[in-house]
Amino acid sequence: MTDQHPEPDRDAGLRRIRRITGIVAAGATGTTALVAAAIAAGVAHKSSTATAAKAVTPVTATAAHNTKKATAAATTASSGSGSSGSSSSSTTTSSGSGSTLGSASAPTTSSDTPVATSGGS
Amino acid sequence: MVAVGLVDSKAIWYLMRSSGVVTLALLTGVMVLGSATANRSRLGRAPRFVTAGVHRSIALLAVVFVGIHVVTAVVDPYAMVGVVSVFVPFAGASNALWVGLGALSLDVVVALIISSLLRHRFRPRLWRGIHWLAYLSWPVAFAHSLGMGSDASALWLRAVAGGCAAAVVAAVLWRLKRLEPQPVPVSLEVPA
Repeated sequence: MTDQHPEPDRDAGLRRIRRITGIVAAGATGTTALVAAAIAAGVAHKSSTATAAKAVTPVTATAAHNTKKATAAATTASSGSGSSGSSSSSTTTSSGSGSTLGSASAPTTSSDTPVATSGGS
Repeated sequence: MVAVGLVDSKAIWYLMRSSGVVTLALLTGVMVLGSATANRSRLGRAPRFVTAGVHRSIALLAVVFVGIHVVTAVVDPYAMVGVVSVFVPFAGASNALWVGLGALSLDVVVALIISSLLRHRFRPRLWRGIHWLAYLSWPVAFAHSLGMGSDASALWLRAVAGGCAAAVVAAVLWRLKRLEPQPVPVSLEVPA
């Protein structure tokens, strides 16, 4: 009497397990594809940004270089010491161009492009 | 031909990363369902064996996705993860720690699955002891996911990782709470 309807319960339970598993499997597969596509889209966006930045970089670097050179020259002229002026000019130029190039080439798609992250997963 | 090969290898690289994230989410689900099974909880009105059945089938599904993650890692020419590094923890030359954690987690998951499939051949206490390794497997897999660094700085991965961590912490706390000795209910009714 206690086991009046054991089979319907069991069958319904098994059906439910299969249904939930199917939903999760489909969701996981779809999510995998979506995430892969999203990563690919993100990488494409970053590389296009980096390309645009690289195209602008030489102009920006030259402009910054010229500005700093002019500033250093003006400082030298006002102070009147030639040796210290030339020394500060060279220092300013090297650090200025370095920082500008560094900021422009910063988004080198660090871990997104396979080349940059060889050895990682 | 070279361009096609490059696109294909990039696709493998993206597939490896995405399958890794989905595997972490599936392992989180397995942990939560494992706690629910141990706590004798039901999924809605379904019988209790449904909870255990879903736990088991999602665990097998997670193994499938771990397999995809591992195969793509080995096949991908950029990842350069050797077959030995996949199974032997900390044997790899590059990123040995983080790849090693992934290998360790994989070994534990494989041990859990095999021991569960052959459960009837194990003594219950031994099987339970092996199954407790699941509590080691998840945090190791979690550390591997964040430590590899491919997407660690991405906001979406942090959100996924945070959600997974919150779910597992809640499941473990739920399990620990159920392990505490329950007070015996005292009847206040006076017998007639």
